[in-house]
Amino acid sequence: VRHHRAVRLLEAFGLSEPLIGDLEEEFRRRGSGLWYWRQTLATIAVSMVEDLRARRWRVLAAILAGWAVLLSWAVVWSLPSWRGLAADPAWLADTRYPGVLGVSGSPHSLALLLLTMCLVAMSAAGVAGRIARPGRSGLLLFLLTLPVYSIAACQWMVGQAPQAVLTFGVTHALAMTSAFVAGLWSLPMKENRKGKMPRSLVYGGWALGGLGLGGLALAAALLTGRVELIPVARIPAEALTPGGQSVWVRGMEAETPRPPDEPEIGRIRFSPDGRFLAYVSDGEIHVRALDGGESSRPVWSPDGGWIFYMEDGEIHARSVNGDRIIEPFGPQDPVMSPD
Amino acid sequence: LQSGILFIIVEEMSPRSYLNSFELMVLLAVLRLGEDAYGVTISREIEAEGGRQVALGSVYATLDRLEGKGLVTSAIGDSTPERGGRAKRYFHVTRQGLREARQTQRALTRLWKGLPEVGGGAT
Repeated sequence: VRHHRAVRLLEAFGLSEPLIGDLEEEFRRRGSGLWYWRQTLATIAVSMVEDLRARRWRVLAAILAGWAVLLSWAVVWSLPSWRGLAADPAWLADTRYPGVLGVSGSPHSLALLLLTMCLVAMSAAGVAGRIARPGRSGLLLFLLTLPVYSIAACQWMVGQAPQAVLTFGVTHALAMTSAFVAGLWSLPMKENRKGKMPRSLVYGGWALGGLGLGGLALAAALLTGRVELIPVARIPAEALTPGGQSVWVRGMEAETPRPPDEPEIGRIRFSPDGRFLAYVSDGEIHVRALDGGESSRPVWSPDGGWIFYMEDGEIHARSVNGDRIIEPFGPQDPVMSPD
Repeated sequence: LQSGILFIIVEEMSPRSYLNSFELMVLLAVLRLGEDAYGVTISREIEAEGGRQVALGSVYATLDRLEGKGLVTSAIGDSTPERGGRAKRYFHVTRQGLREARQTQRALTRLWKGLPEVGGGAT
């Protein structure tokens, strides 16, 4: 009979025998499959809400415990970066990469950390309602979410630097699992009524199911482009936290970090004889002597992004990372003060 | 304003004695049914007299809550073939349940009496 599936669902959710019997009795009288399924789903929903309501403090404790574990993990993981930041406080003042979010270590990582913790909390709240009456639904949930989580994990790994995959995968899995196990431990769990499933399996199933849920939410965030993982190799060194992190997550509004802008040619001038270089910095005019002869010692631009040098009597400019070269401009260029 | 009135009721009575409308309906249905009060008959009674379709799940959730407050007791009874061999759970209103149903009724009656323009005072 069709409704046997509904009975199995009700049993899996641990609903009481008299309630299932009542539904069966009423179904025989009405004979409406639609009525039966509607009642089944409503009953499951009501029972979940009631469970959550009755155990609200324990659910809150579970969520807080999960958060605490996750936070501890984040702190331990990002310790090298925090130490690096303490040694180089100027890094914080650099606003060239406003949208770059680090998983940990960068000052912008807090938002992502909160996002992750919210995902964990939501998942914990979702599963906590059914914790007191574990059964096949735990296993069902696990089996349902595991492939989704695996697909998401595979998607991340494509095109990732190997060390990024390893660090992220291991840390993520450990953090999420320990968060959920901690959350689950703080919930009381009655013995499985039928006694068919070992306790450890139930705990493990729920922990992994929760892990899958968290992964599912994160995967959704990734697939919709809310967050994006980029390997460390594509991040310029100056955007990395001192101390370094191997995995970065970029905000949607973030632009790909760019090398410093075009040099302010108008504010750097060589003397007519090519022996001096004048530039404006901090509102003051500085003059530097260049070595005479065919080629000169290189001179840094004030913003640090360009190097100027003389070769064959002409001035050359080259960006620091070597990807851009400005056409030579000679010492015969007119020197004009902006004012 | 209405929530304000309800709040006054809560304040006047002990917090345990506050019954919401659905709890009161379930409690009264159990009282009316006497010895034959179990899930199916209770929900049928509410549907017939209260004029609204109810989910068995919410009836059970309410009964569990009332049992937790000590207003009803329950006992597992017989099982019949049309129930798939599953036992019935019979409910019975306790003396405290009866008292609190009366308290709620009195409070509501007093409040209705204060509203003659909507036909109050007839209860």
